[in-house]
Amino acid sequence: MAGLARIALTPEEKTNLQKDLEKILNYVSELKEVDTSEKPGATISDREFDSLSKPINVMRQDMNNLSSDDSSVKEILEGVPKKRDKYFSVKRILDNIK
Amino acid sequence: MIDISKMGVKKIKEGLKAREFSCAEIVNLCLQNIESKNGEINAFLEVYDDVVAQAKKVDELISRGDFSGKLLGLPLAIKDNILIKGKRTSCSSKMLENHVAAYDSTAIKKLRKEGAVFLGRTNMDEFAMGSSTETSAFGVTRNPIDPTRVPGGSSGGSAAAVASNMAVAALGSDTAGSVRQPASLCGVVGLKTTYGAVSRYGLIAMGSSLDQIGPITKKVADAREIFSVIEGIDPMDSTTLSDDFRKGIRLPLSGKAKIGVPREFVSTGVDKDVVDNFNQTVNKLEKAGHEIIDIKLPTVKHALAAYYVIVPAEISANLARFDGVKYGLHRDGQTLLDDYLQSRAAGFGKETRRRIILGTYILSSGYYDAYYKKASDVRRVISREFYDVFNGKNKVDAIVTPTAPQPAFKIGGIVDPIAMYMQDIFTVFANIVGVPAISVPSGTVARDNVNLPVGFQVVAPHFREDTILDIGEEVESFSAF
Repeated sequence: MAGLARIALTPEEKTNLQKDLEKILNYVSELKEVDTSEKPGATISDREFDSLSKPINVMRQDMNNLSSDDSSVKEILEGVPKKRDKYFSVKRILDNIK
Repeated sequence: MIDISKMGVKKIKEGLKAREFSCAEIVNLCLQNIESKNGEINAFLEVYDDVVAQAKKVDELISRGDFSGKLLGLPLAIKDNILIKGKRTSCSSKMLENHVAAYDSTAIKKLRKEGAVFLGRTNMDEFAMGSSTETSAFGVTRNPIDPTRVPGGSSGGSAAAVASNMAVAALGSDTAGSVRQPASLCGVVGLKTTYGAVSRYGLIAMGSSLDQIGPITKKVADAREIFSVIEGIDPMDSTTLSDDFRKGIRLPLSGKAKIGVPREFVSTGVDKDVVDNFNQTVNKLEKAGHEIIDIKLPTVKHALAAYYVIVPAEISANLARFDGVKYGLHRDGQTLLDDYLQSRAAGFGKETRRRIILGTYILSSGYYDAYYKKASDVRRVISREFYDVFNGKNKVDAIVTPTAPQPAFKIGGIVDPIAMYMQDIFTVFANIVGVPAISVPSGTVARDNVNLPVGFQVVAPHFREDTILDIGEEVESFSAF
């Protein structure tokens, strides 16, 4: 899991974390007891309730207000740990490419 | 002689108008308190170098006769997860220790427009994960009322700054109680706004379906003023709702309110004197003419467990962006994967790692139904119970509970993660349901011969901040301070 979460852990950290996670998972397992099926006698039906809280799509104009010499590009690049010109710099991920 | 501890939005504005004092003088009083107290309390991680210049700008407005700013000259402390362009914003994490914000958050833009002054950034639990401000990578914040105790969290620095008069008011963020619980433990007011009421653009995300920005103030009136400035629809946060919708839903309370008390829920796992304090306040509300009704919220006790599935899941996704490439801390490894592993190991503290890894597990293939889906279903059941209480045959206007199960505890006093999570038992459901909630000081309880403040929480239906602010002001009038 730590690998999937992209966090390197020492063996000791792994042991401690495993204990903590077991505790937390054990705690949240109380959710299994909760009956989530529709109950009779409610004010409104599940369907009506869901329609009240139905997500709606919110869109805005997709605009590019930046140009390469824009000051905000510079400001963003200032926070980049490793860069080359105006690009993020990362290690090569494909081997044997000429 | 100006008493900064008695200052609020209205008094400052009136004093500036009457030329009783200048903004520079008000701000200086805060800076003096920071100078003398912050060494011990550690509420501020940084005091901005342009505070005096900001005050001067306000004084220039005043000299031109411009008093239009709603929060003119108000010295504010800002939680270290709300972006101010050109200022460091670290989320109290090594990961973002040197991160400089490239843009202003919407809340900051609005506050600045109304003449507020930003004093500095306040300490918090790392990435807002905690209830004591002890998980900060930059040291604990101490409770100004008893420095051996925690200020609560995660907005502990903001609450401590206001309680110790280092700031007149502050901004915090609340994902499960992070504005209200520290307000309760420090004896100040904390408002968690309706989900969708205040834009989170420029708030570094933890749990996106739960996070809200909210004010921490001395008095309810100031929370009302600050809320009226920061609320509103924002094209940069698609979860904000239109002002028209808000106007449509706000009907004035007809004098006295129907107040629901979930008796069974508020009497389990709470210190006895905290329950007594709560009951006294309820009795006072009844005497004041409000109708008190016993209500049942049978599933609300599971809100915390649902939260500890939903929030790690959202955290694992939100914090994936911290990879040592785009911003923040970078550690060099052998390969790109190694860079990620090392950067994230070096940047994240213990609780943050715990939640990221837990969230990764919860969302992994094969476990999704058992955890995330189940928690979402429970969330829906809880939301329905609130809907029924607010709209069913009882039609209550508000629900009240204690804010926290106990007063401020000793630094290092809670080590077990579950015991720490339990601090949010009365606050988390408002985030799970999305409704607004306020914590107002309601007196004190004694621990080791120190009188520690206790908060009283008022919760209302979506977008009924007016209700909780009104009832909150009444509760405020009951207590001695």
